[in-house]
Amino acid sequence: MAAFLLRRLGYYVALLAVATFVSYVLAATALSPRAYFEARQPPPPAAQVERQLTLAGLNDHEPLLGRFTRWAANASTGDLGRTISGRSVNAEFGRRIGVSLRLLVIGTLLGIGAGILAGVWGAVRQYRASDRVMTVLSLVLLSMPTFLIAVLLKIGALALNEAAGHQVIAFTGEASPGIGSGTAALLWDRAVHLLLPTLSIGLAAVAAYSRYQRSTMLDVLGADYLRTAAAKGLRRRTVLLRHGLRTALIPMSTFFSFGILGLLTGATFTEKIFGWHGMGEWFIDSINDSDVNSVVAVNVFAALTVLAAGLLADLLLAALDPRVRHGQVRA
Amino acid sequence: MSTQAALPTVQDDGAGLVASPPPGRLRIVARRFARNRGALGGLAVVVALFVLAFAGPLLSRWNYADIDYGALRQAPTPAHWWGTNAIGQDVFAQTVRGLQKSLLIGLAVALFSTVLAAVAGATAGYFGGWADRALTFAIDLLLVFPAFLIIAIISPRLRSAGWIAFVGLLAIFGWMISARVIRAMAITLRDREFVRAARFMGVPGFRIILRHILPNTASFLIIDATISVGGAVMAETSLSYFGFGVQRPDVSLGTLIADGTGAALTYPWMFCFSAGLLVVFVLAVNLIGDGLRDAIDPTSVTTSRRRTAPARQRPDRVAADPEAVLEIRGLQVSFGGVPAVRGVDLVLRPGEVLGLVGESGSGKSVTALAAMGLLPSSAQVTGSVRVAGTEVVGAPDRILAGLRGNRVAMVFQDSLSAFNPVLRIADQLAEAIRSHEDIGRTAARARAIELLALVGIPDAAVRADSFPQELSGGMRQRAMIAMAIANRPDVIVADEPTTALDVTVQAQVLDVLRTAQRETGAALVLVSHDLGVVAGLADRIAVMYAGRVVELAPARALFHQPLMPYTQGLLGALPRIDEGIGRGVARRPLLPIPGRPPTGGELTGGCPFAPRCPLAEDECRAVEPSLERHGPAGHLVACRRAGETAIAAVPAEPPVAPAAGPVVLAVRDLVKTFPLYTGAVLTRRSGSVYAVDGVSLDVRRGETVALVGESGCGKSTTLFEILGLAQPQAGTIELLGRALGPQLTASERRELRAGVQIVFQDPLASLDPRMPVGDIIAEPLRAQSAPREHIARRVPEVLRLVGLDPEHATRYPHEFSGGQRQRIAIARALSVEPELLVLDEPVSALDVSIQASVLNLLQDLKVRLGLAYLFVSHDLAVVAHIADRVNVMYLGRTVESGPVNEVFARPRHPYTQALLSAVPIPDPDVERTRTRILLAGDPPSPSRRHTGCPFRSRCPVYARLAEPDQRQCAEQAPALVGEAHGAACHFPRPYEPF
Repeated sequence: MAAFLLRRLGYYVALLAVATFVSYVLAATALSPRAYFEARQPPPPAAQVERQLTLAGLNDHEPLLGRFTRWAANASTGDLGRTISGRSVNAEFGRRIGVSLRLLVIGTLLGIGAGILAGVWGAVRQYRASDRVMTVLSLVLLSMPTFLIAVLLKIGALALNEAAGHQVIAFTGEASPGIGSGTAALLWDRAVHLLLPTLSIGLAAVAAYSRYQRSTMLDVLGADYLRTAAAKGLRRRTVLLRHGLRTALIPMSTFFSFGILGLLTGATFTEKIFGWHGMGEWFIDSINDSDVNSVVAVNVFAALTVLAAGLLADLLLAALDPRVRHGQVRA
Repeated sequence: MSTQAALPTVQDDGAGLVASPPPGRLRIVARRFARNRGALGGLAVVVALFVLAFAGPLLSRWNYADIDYGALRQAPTPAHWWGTNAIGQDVFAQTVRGLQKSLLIGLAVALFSTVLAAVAGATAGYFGGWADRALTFAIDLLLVFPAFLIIAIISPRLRSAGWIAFVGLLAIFGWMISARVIRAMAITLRDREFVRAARFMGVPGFRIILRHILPNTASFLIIDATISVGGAVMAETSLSYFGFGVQRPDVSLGTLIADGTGAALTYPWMFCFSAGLLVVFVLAVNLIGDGLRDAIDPTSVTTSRRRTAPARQRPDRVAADPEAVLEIRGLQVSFGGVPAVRGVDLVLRPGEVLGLVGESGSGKSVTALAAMGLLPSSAQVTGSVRVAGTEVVGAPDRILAGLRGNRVAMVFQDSLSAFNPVLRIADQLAEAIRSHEDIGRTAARARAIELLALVGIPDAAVRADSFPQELSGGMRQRAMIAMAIANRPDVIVADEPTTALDVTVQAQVLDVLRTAQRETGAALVLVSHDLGVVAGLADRIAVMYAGRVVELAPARALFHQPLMPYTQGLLGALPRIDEGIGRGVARRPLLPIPGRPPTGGELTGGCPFAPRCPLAEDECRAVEPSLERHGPAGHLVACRRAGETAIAAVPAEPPVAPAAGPVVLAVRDLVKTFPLYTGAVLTRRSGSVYAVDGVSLDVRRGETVALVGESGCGKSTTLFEILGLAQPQAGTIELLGRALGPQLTASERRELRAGVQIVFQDPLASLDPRMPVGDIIAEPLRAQSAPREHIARRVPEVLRLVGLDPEHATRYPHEFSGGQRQRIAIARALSVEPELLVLDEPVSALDVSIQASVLNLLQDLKVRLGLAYLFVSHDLAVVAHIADRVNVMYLGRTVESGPVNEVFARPRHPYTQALLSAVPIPDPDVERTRTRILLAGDPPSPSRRHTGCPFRSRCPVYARLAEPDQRQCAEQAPALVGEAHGAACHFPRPYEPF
């Protein structure tokens, strides 16, 4: 069991290393910091552009591999370099990571919790009215890109605020500036700001997880051991929960590790649209500024998140499935 | 040639029955799809949107780039149908153009990524090894980042390259998950028998992928491609929304939504058309995908409404039997209008054993499940089932839960799938106890362990903590019996309890079942297709045919004076191991029942057996007879001509000496080991599985040599070693006079491939369901690069040879019955005129009546074509019937070999003796008076190389030997001693099993 997790961990570290290299190479070749400096008004002298590029470790006259080696050496000591405007990437990273993680964790928990409930309910009541309504709802949600859900929510809130004549739902940033003191008021303000972004990434996640859970549950409902459980004299509810749901949750751990990809993408859009100063917003701004080091930093963050989710999924799998724990099935 | 002459002409198992072919797969899928309203609506919407996207520009006088300076931000007017935007462009023209672009990108990406996924996944999955590892790593790497990040990074470079480059990029990030699925499917398909068959014919790998692997993943690919159109459109619009996709002045739905967002409330027309079309299109595509999935996947239910079981009707024509523990009256079960059980009456008294026999589809298992109230909710049930006086049909969950496991318990057939894989055995047993008795966890666990010990599981306290898949099949089935008797039920229903087990394990489990039944005094319903198993246990036997009981009689009467022509036919078609063996009498030719059993939908009203019955008259075809008393008390039969002899006894012939032609296959001391790996972090080779560890055999032209032994003894590995045509690890294989080894040239190898062909166990699995029969039969010829004219001539020839119609070449395997499919597999093998035919359990997937006709065909072909057969079977009665010589294997070694008559009549090796004594004989008198040699435990693991005799851990002779003799067994591996009839045993004891 421990050996299984250790092996996975080793594999993930290798993946992270290769992924970091790939993203550095891509960012350094696709983006053009030189053009960013040269386009400044008034045009700076060539020597100064050269100096600034070298200072930030972005000079494309230096071989790519050399630049990467230097960046990697610094990164391994915990220094992710400077942004294109000369600030510390580490500081920016620290400021923004909490914002993104808050959104991601809430979105994930909401998605999994509500998704599993809805999926099981739908499977057990297959083809009844409630199942059909949920199926249609989730299909509609799954047919909308996250950015569109966010935009629609925002437009809806705007319309609501206009109709009400004052701001009912605040949706720009994480908190209103100058709200004053008072813990209760502050908390309430934050919660209101959280509502729309959470719904934006959570709704799609609920829809996706509920579809997966519904289909794994339906697979299990036809299993022979459910019939055996009924043949022992267990009540239907016990059969469904203790034998059905218990095994139907196992494949969900795999979906969980895929699902984080969608959530990360969704969080990027959501931050940008609702003006949250998180990693996603940073990423989009950095690309527009040709800020190589910042782009790589966000990529490392994304890779770390995905791999952490993968490891968590492995842990969940091992916890749920004794066959994995006992090494009979190779995950 | 006299064997052939005596063969009855009724060889046909329904060759003429496929008059009108059933509807093709495509038609079925189309029909199921059309029934799905959502999917049809989706299809209509998608078609409409495509028309709009490509015909739209012709309708409007505005080009998408035109600017109408006089109309900025104008609401919809007759001039601008959907209004204008901030710089005066026509929103309709812009939206139509955006839709066109988004659709084109979506389609191109879906096409590209599906092709990529199919090729990469199939190649990696089929070839495995490095290709597979590289693909897995590449997929994992691409899945480390959200595709959005990478595409956004590269997009500045792509601005000049246009949308085609964008399509490529989206596709590169869109194929991984599908490729994983395809890879997994390819890995499964690789081991399917039709793919294996193609490999043994010498079809090259890439052709196998193209002709077998990809077509069999087609349904997934179609669904996946459909859904990925929607996904690609969503990805495109998302990227374009943030400026990373389609670049202005060109437009897509994404850029239009981005432009319209800011003004969505004040100028809604700039936003809502593009956003609305996006959602409607993706939703429509998803609905089509869902509809396709439901239509293609045969397991998905398309019935729109769950059927509720109608209120039970209590038939009062027969008064309830106060003594009965199980009383079934007028039971009728149908699925979706197709009847499965059509009026069954059965009464079971305490302690009685009732055998329920019949071929597949006869309704015996459905009857058994109905007795438990366990039928799926899609079943419509009428009639009455009473367990200990309580009605089961239509009873609420609360009542049923109180009965099940308590008054009536069940032993299921497949113990691996019947136990929950994630719970320990003890917990599953304790659950059964605790659901009817109010006792604590520890007490229940103690009882569970007691029960496991009771059914003969050694170290019960330790094994109790095992998960089901850690136990052997025999042990699991014992645990299943323990669970059934946990609450001392009144009735035990055992549904094919030993079908998947080896014969020695079957004997053990039947023994346990018999003991458990006697100890608890429960009545037992034993459902089985095996007349031998029932003969040994049942007091009364009910024979089912087409959903009804057609004969019900005490066991002796049923076997000795069967009244129904069907019962007579079954007994006549059944090979018997004790007949003729060692008495110098030749085997009695089997008498197959012509035709095949009807399916529920085919019944016409008369006696369902009439089309196959030699005694049928017009009256039989008009009215279905009811089950009535005939002859002595307790003998019921549903037949107008009950008691007449339907099948004339065929006189046994004098024995024909097997033709001793030249040796076509000589195997000497063959060894095959598989590496065994352990270690989770650093995997290393820790040992070997000795799958084949010293097999020797000869097959001569014109003779049948049978390879017998229990599962895991290395029979199949031996076959695959021979068919692989590679040099064996140790020992020699000489095929058609040539030794297998590296010295063989490619052309010699190809010639050898034509010389040896294989027929697999399951004809459904060994024939590619997506190929017409003609192509299937031509495949070995094509692998031999036979000229086209030769193939065209040969296919009808071999079809006729196996008793099929040449016109069948254009049909697909699913249109044929099981017996006909096996004939197709035989035809395929014969197409290249082989000298040696390897038959791997060729009849064990077939019903008794069909099996007989295939066995007769094989016998006939052997004589006519002078073939040699290497025949693998676990069914010793079949072996006794068809084989000339037999080779008995245990743990990878030959332990006894010789002429079948000799070996089966006077086996010398204790393993052969135990094997033969465990074979159930379809005769209650013989079966109940035989002495059985019961072996202890399961075969030991082949991952240890055993010193001395590998059988001694289970050997009854060894157990009784004196100390010095035991040492000889432990230290010295016995050699095969004896000229014609050899046995590898130090202390052979005489024994006559029959």
